[in-house]
Amino acid sequence: MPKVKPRVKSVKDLTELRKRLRSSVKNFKSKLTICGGTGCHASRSQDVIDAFKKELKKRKLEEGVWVRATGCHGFCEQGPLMILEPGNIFYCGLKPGDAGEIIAETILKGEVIERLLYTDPVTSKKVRTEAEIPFYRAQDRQLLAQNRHVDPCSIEDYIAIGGYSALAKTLTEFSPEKVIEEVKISGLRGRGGGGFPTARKWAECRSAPGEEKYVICNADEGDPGAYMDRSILEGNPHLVIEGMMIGAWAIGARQGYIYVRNEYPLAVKHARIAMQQAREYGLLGDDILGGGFSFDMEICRGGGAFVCGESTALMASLEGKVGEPRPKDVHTVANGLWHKPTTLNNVETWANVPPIISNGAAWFAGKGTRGSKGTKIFALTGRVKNTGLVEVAMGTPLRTIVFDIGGGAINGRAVKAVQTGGPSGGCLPLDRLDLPVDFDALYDAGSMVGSGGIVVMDEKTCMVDVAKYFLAFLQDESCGKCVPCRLGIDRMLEIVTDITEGRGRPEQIDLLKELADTVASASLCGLGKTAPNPVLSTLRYFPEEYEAHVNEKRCPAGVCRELIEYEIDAEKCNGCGTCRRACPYDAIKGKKKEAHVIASHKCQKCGICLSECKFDSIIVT
Amino acid sequence: MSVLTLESILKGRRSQPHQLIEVLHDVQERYRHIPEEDMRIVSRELGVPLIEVYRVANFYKAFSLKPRGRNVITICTGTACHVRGSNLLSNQVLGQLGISPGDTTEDGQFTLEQVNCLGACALGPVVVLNGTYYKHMTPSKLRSLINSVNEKGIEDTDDAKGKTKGKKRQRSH
Amino acid sequence: MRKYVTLKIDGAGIRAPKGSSVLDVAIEYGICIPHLCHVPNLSDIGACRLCIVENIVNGRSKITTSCTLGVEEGMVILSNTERIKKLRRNIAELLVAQAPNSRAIQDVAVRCGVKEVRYPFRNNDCVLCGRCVRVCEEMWQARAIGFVGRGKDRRVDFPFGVRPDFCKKCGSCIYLCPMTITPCDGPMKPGKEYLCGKCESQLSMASGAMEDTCVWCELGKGFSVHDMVINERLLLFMMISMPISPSSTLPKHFFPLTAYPVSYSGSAAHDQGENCFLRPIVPVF
Repeated sequence: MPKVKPRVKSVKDLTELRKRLRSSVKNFKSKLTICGGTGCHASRSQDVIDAFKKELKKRKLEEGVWVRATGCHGFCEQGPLMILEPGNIFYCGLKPGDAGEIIAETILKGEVIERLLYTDPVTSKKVRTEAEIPFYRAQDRQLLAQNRHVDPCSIEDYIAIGGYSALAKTLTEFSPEKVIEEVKISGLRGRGGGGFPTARKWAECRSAPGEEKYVICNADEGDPGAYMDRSILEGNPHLVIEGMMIGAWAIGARQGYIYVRNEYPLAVKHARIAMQQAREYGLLGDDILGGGFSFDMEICRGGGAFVCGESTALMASLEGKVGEPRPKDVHTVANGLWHKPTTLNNVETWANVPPIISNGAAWFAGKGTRGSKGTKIFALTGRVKNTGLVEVAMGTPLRTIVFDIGGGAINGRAVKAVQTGGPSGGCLPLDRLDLPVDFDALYDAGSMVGSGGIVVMDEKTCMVDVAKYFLAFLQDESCGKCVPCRLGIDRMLEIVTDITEGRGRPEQIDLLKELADTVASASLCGLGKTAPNPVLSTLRYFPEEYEAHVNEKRCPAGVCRELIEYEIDAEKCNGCGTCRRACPYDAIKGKKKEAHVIASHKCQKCGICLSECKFDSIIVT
Repeated sequence: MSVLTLESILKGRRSQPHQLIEVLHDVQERYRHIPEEDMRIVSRELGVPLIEVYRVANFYKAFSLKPRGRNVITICTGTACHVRGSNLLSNQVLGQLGISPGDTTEDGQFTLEQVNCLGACALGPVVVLNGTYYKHMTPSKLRSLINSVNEKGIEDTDDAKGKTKGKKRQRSH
Repeated sequence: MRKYVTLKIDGAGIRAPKGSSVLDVAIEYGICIPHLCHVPNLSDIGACRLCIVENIVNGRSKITTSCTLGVEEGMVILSNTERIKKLRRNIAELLVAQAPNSRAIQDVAVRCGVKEVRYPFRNNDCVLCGRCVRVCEEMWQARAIGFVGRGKDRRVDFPFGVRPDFCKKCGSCIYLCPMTITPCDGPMKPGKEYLCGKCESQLSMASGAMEDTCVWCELGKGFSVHDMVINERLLLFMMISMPISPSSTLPKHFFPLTAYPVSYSGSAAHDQGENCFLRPIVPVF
């Protein structure tokens, strides 16, 4: 790799740099790609990476083996994982101690270590390469696949695989209007939840009067259960930067901001490094690639507020104020950050722009449905076997995602519901899983594509409790400015809490529906407007659960504490005492080897004993 | 708090009201909370009305006005972690240390925070202790983790990960 | 050279100066739109959501607050459809359940057609309308109080909870607050929470005079179709004939009847301006 970074002053310089980088990489005998994304990081992948580096140094193999830590590969459940080339061998569940063995067997002798390979859950056979794994097979990994090939802290990697060529093409071949036209033909719609046609937003901003314009990347990703944006920003920050630059060229902006939520320190770090490296190469700053285009960027951290994902609140936060939304009668494309025309798009939206320019709009529009084009990344989580990041073409049925890719529910239970779209979305029951992931189809069914979180729920999940969970979340995150959201969500939560605690009355269900309509129609911002969706969708698809809670004072899933009792089945209990030791409230008594008893007046039904008991002796009624 | 350190945080940011949140982040990182006196200085130096500084410090979860404990336990309460039982972990802390989210133990050892999604959803339930992520947490693992901090004052990393379940505790270093 | 635009509110064609909000225009022309957080000469934040109207754009109706909606050429506004009335009623119901111990809030609720309150009463002493905050910030630029906290913990407070020395105790905040004027005669007692019958508005409601409209003002039923454009000179006439002074909080002859291009079936007892939203129930500057 070049030590002194030459400034790339023209497209020709860039092309030559790319050739040089590609040829320098060919000299490595083996290449190891270890996932350093969020999930694997939590599985201590850094220790694995360090172990490899240490072992290679010990054996003096550093010159022939290239070790690279990359962003998220998507299959978080199986981490830490790595891919070995040549051979494209996929190893998972790694520990630092495996480093030596892998080097000795696979790198030096070319032999595959069976126990580290992935086992196909259906055939029970070992699988060698990533492409054969069912989790990956059904996906269309346009964006995520790139994560494998780049070290996020190395701009050279990104340039070597073709990075910034879309920018070069834009500056030399496309006028701003043509860029907008390309994006329009591609049919790209916002990936942050709104699904607004991106080209229309850009066109409006371009035509808004004013010299000073801004582009913003919304990396706030507040939806719980969603981490796609984090993985893109952490794993491939240059893709986002390039996308923003193309957008800025189209709109006429010279300054850009990436607003990252405070809970993503690694994303902030990688994006900062990426910007710095781009500046060193002259890819950010004045007269980029000699095309007369000047542009620079800044990173801003959020403060920990879900409402700052809303565009006007985000802009207020960028201005150093509290994140309170303002009415959008005048759109932010005309009057946004510091009252200047501003284009705000989600991380994934920006990330889709360079491929559209490079491969052409028709390529993008060739995937997906009539109203929703291209691919979308989803975060598949919850009570499903294979959790992780999934990228599929729009229009794929939910069933494919949950069962073919996700492998169905864990512990052999049945899937009861699938929640999409985060706190703004809704829960869909099992019989609606043939719905395609399409903006309009899910919206009509009472849910949303949203930012892409898909949470799978099984029969042990109480849907009324889920509604309560989301209402509590929104109540906590509401800014509190307008009456319908602040008081309306509060009262809805009060009613649903009454229902889960056994005080529900039938007329409250009607009141809940009426209140939900008021909150949805009269709130100031998107948070309030979509707040009733979880309640309304659970009422629509699971009315029998509400009825059980209200009329029979019973929780069918066995979750709502006031409606259940914990008991120990004396016949199954063998007196091991695990539950007695685990109970934080001292509610279980019993002698060793004798059946234990739960004192119901002390029992808080927290569920800890149930999760610890290995003999299935605790029953919930 | 020393005026000198606040000086280094404010350097290059004077009279720039939009830097307020970044400045408060730095103060929070350095001192584990935002003291009243600092808010007054920041208000003056950045040119932001005092009430605005106070508002921003109260609005965002990242900032605390009361000092946090030496060890911060952050439990993720996102949807995926919730569905996998993150409330069991909150209950565990309540039972073991007697604190609710937002509270600090009397000896200043632990603070419990709840966060609405850390972005590690596939490995829920997730707990972060002093910046280190722990995946697939259960109440018993959390119990061991807290105990390991209690007993040694600093983390014993092997035990904390619960890897020594059933095995004898080894003095690793 | 002031620019004017023509728009339709409830069927009436109105010429309004560009830059004014729909609510301002409506009030000037005697179209009754309930509001709480709006105060003339202070900025509008759209917090109470009572002034919502339907803005018909491209055949679709968008519900938005009229205090933040700037007038534009060719706008079509409906301020009193069934949907709007129902939404307003629900919002007012939420407000009165939150802070029933204020006559002003009770009046607002009754005038928006609230017949029953289906939520348990809480005894809050602030509805977070923001009048106090805005007057302190915009009128006096003292900024001694502000909204602190988020969501249900939102409250109006001094910095650090202590009155700063740059608060000069002018009293504007107290003066404008809907909670502090004319305290309720029948204070809420635990176990006896109900809308007491001592409010005069309550009496009219008990007599069953009105349906879901603003209690007194028949204008709230909407204009009968009679397109007439009110021009600048008539507007000037209206303004001259209004006695406006900061100290007079109860202007009696606010809106001369002759300005209205409508024929309405008002009752003889209609005392135009007495209890209508056109005469604010809470004081203004």
